Amino acid sequence: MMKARAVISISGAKDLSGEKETQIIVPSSVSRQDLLKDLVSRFSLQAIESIITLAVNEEYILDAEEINLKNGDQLAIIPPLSGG
Amino acid sequence: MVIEKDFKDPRILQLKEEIKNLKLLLCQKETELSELLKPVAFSCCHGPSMKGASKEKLSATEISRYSRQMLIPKIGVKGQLKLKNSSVLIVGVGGLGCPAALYLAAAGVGCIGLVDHDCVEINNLHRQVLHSDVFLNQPKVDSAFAALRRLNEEVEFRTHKTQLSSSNATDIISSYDVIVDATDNAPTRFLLNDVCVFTKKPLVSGAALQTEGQLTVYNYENGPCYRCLFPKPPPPNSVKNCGDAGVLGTVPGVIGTLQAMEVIKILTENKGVLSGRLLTYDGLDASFRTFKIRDKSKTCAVCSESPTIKELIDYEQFCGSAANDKNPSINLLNPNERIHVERLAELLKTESENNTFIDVRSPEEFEMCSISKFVNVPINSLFFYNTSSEPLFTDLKLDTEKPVYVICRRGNDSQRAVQILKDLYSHLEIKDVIGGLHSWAKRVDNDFPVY
Ligand SMILES: [Zn+2]
Repeated sequence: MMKARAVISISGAKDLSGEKETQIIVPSSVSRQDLLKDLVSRFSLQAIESIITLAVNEEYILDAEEINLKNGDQLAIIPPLSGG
Repeated sequence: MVIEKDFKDPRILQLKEEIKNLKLLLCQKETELSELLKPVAFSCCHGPSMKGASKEKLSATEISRYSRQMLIPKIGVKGQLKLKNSSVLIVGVGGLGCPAALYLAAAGVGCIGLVDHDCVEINNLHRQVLHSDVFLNQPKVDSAFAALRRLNEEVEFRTHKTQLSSSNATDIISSYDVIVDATDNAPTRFLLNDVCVFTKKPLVSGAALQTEGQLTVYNYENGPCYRCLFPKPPPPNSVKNCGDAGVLGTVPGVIGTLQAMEVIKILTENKGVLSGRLLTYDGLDASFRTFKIRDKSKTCAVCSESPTIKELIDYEQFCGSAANDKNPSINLLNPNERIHVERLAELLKTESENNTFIDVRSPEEFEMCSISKFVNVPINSLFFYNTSSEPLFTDLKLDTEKPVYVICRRGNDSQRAVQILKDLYSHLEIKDVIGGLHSWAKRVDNDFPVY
């Protein structure tokens, strides 16, 4: 399987994962569902899995989408914040 | 040489009290005056009552007052008149609502409604910048009203001291042009979204936590709604609130100000409204990012062509959590596994050497305040020990024979901690302190900080 080296950032979840931004190796072609599953287990985000939104290069990925990734792509995990 | 002032000086205390009372009296008089100045046929926000002022043109004072923003070609006289003839509802007069209201009132929005059920607490003041010491324990809407009126008497303010709910939301919301979501909990966010979809109002939504914020505009010119993006409610307890996770005051300051900016763009019919995009702000690395979010969802439960939700529902039930940011008390232990704060005080006094006292709050909280003799073992570290075979007490150099007493902030985490500890040390007597440090401060040590 082809792999890509992407940069991932996790907002609003820093104390869930202990990370803000880090490099990860991901498959270069993957379904949203599989990528999400991978990221959730990698960063222990199970508690918010059902409400996470996922963006690639600052664009949201829809449920059924197939994602093509290349080196340097920016992944972002954005859970909704509620505080005010 | 610095001379130490005696702040317990009776004259100082007396003056402080007198000044506080005068400030309150001033507010009462101002309220009375503004009641008397209200036009007779008062119907704020339904139409251009606007304190009887002309709605077609600006007065000389208004031109002077708003000249600096009217000089901008995209605003001009036309834009200023639009602001003057508009109404905005701000839901939540907290960290986001205060700065949003401040800038909208300053900008000359004709009518501003404020909804909040809460009273001002001392832990609000670092970020909710309309409120001050004088208004502690007073309704937030009254406090905000007093501050805003001082800023701009030309604006008509409407206060709604109520919890927005399925039964009153449509009534309150339908008379305003734009709605600002400055709330602090998921059920109210879903409620606001659905009402705004049903009544066709743009919803300017902001959120802030710790050092991060989010901003977007829902339900604007065929853009997505909150449910298009988040069809499911957050699992209960998965979303952190400001009371637990904390928030730096400047973060809602930034986001609330940006909410006011979006409102002004919508009202003045300017382009570039943040619809279909989500802005995130991280104060720590000073970064703003804008994400393109999805279009309206064809399967959205409220805003699609074939909605499954056609009227307001029970949002607390839908989200499985209450429509506030307070934490409900839980009850996991038997009464014989718990002690009251008075018993703890006795134990600390007479038998402190024969027992182990554990405080399971975060290190940050422990550093703010703690009871002496207590050792800090954050509950998160217990979760770790729970799944490993490492001996916790040996690591912590704690006695493995003495009875253990566990305390936390409110008496919830302490119960969870007792359950974990019992799995690890079944032979030990392990109990928690009912009501935690809040009870301790209330019933044993009144000087203990409450947060
Ligand atoms: Zn929708």
